Amino acid sequence: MTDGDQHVLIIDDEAQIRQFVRAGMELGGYRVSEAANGNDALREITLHPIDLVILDLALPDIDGSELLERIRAWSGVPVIILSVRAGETEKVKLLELGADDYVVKPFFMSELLARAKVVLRRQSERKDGESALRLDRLVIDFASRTVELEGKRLNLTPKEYRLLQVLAQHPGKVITHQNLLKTVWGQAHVNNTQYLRIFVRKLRQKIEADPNRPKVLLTELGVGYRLNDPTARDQNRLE
Amino acid sequence: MSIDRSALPLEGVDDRARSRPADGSLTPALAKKYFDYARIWIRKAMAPGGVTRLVMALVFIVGTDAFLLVMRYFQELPPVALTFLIPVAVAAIRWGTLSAAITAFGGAATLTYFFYSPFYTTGPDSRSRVLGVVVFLIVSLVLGYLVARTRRDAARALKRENEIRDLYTFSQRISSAHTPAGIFEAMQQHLGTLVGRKVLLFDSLGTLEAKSERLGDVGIPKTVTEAVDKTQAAGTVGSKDIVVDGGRGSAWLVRPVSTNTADFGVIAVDLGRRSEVFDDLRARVVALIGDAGLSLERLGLARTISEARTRAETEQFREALIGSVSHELRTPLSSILGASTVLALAPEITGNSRLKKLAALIHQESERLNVEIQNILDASRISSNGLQAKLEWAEPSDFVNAALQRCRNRLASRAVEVTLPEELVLLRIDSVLMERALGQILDNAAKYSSPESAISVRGHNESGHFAISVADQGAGLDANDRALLGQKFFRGNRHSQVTSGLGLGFWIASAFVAANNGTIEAVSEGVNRGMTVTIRLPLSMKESDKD
Repeated sequence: MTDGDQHVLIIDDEAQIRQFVRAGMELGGYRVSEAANGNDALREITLHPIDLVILDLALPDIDGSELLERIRAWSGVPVIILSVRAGETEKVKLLELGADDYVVKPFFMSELLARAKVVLRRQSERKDGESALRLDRLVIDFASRTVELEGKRLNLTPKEYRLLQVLAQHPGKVITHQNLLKTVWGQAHVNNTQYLRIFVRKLRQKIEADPNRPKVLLTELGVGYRLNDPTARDQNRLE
Repeated sequence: MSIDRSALPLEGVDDRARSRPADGSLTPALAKKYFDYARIWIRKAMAPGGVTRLVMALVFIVGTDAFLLVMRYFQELPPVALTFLIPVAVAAIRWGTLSAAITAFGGAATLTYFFYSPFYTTGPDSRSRVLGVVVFLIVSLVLGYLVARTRRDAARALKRENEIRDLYTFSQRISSAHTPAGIFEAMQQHLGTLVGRKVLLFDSLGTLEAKSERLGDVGIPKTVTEAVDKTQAAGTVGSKDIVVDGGRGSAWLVRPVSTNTADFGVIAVDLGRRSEVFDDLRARVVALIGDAGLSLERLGLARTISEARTRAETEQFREALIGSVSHELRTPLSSILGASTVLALAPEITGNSRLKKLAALIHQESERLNVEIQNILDASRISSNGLQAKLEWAEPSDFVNAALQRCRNRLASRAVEVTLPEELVLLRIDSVLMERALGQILDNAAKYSSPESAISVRGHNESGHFAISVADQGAGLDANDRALLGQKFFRGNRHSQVTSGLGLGFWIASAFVAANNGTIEAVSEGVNRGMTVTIRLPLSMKESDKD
């Protein structure tokens, strides 16, 4: 586990949570700073080069989602949200505000580490500006707009390709239903979830071994879809 | 203000006697009527009051005669016929029309004999004498009648006033009564005063609740207890007041207190002899009982409402308590669970198998605690009607996979066979709730079957529904458990011995499925023969749901 010397900022008002998250992140090879409230967090982010923010929504001074908005106003630093509020509407809202991922409390450290890894990898890839995405057996070439499964070129309709492309731009990140509908079908169809279901099904029939048990195009219930990042999959889950 | 009960209504009969038909033809019915009047008159005359009336009328005549004769002894008197109107009027006021009439006739007779010249003779020897007597008779009879009528009206008014006052007192008492006992007491007392006889209340269990007001030592006639039993047995359906003969010439009214509910028991009232007043009295007693019955119902309703309110408040408090306790438990649990997962990653611990096991134990148990807390939170959300399904078009395979993923630890040791339809199925559901519901069912299936046994999950279309069934080969259900399954906190007897848990799972699953307009059904062939739980969700009509 060598993710280099990446710097993680933990923002949580509960010392116990900060304590074990710090221990866990340090085990994962990260450098860790802590902040107990929103103002300290803002200062920390401005003063130091932070690679990843782990943000608890319940803060004593600033509401977590507001803090997220303020950070997003000038920084693209990856943010993973910690929340006891598990509502799907809440998750959608946070993703729309620019959160990269969320973890619902109580959570497993392994899960947080996996998410952190995916988010950070995505960040570094974005910087690299790769023109193709390789996911297990699947290769998506953005330049030629082609998709290959085990070396065989897949015949996708323009909508299907567009859908896959939007998801592939942020591998591992949950893209909300609304976001997908808006990008692929347009603003007018933002509530036509059934379009999305039908095309996801078609796409799965083409790219998955068993469309009823997808391994690549995953469903995030009530929120959206994401492409499974193989780097996250080999992360040892606590089992 | 005592009123001569027996005398009053009879004067009404007098009126009718006077207004006889003008043609005078004597039909058998008419003859019978007159015969009845005669009987009444005779009885009246023979009654203690009746004799007094006759005697007093005669005493009055004699007194007036004596007085006038004495006066005449001293001085020549002017025509004195008017003087005789005094005894007539007094007799009418005191004893009624009959007395007045007797006094009038007596007065006329003595008037002719003593005070019309020539004195001390009878017979129509002079025109003026005959005329005088006739005029006197007419005047005195009319006067007597009028005075008696006035007296009767006054007495009636007094009687009504008393009745109304009684009724008012009664209604005030029952409307201010806060307990059925208070209403019963008021009813019994009032009826007791009204009929002046026995009033008996039988509560809904058939035991005698109250003793009579008067004549308490007289036993209850057998016919009455029989009628009470019969009324109670009949319940409220078609129950009416019955009048039974209680022996010794008294009739009893037996009636349920309320005609709407059997809860208030049966009342038996001794109405006395079947006389002319009987029907009147009976109607009044029935009206009073009806009043009291309504009050009792009102009281019952009020109590039911207040009980419901108390229950609701208790429930609300309980839910709030559960909610806040669960939340407070969850905060430290987050730290425990998180820290345990950090321990499981630490090389110092992963390298030591004993410590690794301990870390895994902390992790497992805190995870279990977390699941139970989540269940309690879900249950309190369901109970407080905080459950709002967000229905969207969704694929059932999505929530089935999510549920299987969630239960992967529990299901790890088993062969889980999943069958889902090849074609796309779209349901209008809240996938998150459905995932939780199916998760509960899978969890139960895993809990109550041996770790090696297989579990099958099968989804298929079924006449207008999409059915997902989870079949295990576990403990199954017996008849008792089947009836109780689905209740909050239910756990089968055998279940509690096998494994721990609060017994909320199936109940939560049912509520979640219901929120998705679905149904849930548990079928078991019997104990240790496994169980199949089937969730059915409506396959929405394309027309109705397309917007």
